[in-house]
Amino acid sequence: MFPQAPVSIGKLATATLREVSRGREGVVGRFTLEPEDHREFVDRIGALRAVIGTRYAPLPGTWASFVVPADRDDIDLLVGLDRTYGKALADAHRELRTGAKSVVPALTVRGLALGFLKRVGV
Amino acid sequence: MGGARLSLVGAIAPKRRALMVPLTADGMVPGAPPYEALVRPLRSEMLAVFGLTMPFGVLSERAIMLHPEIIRVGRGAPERLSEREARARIRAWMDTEGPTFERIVLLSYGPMMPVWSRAVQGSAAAPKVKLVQVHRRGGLGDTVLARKLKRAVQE
Repeated sequence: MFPQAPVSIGKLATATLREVSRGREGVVGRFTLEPEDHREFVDRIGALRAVIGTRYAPLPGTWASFVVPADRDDIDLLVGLDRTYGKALADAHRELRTGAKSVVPALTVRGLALGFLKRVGV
Repeated sequence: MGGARLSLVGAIAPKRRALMVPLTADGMVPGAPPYEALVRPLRSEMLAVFGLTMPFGVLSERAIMLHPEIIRVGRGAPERLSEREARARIRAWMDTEGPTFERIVLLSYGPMMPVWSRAVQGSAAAPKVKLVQVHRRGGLGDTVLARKLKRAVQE
């Protein structure tokens, strides 16, 4: 469903899939963020404080959120796919025989993260 | 994005027709003069306007106006991967939202047309699509094009 290999989020960090959870509303991938430069990351990511936990949803059926996990001093990236659209997207990849390994590929994970960061001025 | 206004009533009224506009680098984005010259005369409560984008496929005009940054960050991805993602997302849109429209009018021009064609082939909603061709000579500012588009959207 989500890319297994690390995804670069511009020059800021690398996102690595930690877990996938499925529920009635859809499926969510949780990515840990490994900074490229820890000091720069801390400086820039401070601007996210106001939007922590909120959803960024510019694409149909797909959303992203930056969250602070309860058990770690980190910021995680969540990428979610709504149930109906997620099924349609998975079916589309199958019917079109795209050969894609992920229903939500790295470029979408990266695009959502970078888009959200741009939106909040990071 | 001067000139384009979001309509509250337009956001909640049911739509019967959809207009697909490929968003390319030549000023075809919501709010830009070439785009508004074509789209503004067509706006009505019955028309939903969408942009065709690479790599994120079909995005509502409203989403593009609210989130212009998603168009910018999508550029620069490798072409093959962008096309693949756009195909899948266009197909997913056709299969989920396509059936809710009576007609889907596609402004046919630009490099996304092969991506669109491959994406919708075999989709149940494909017969609802009406192509309005942009001819090279007249281009997007052609008055004949504007008339054809109006007819396709309003008939």
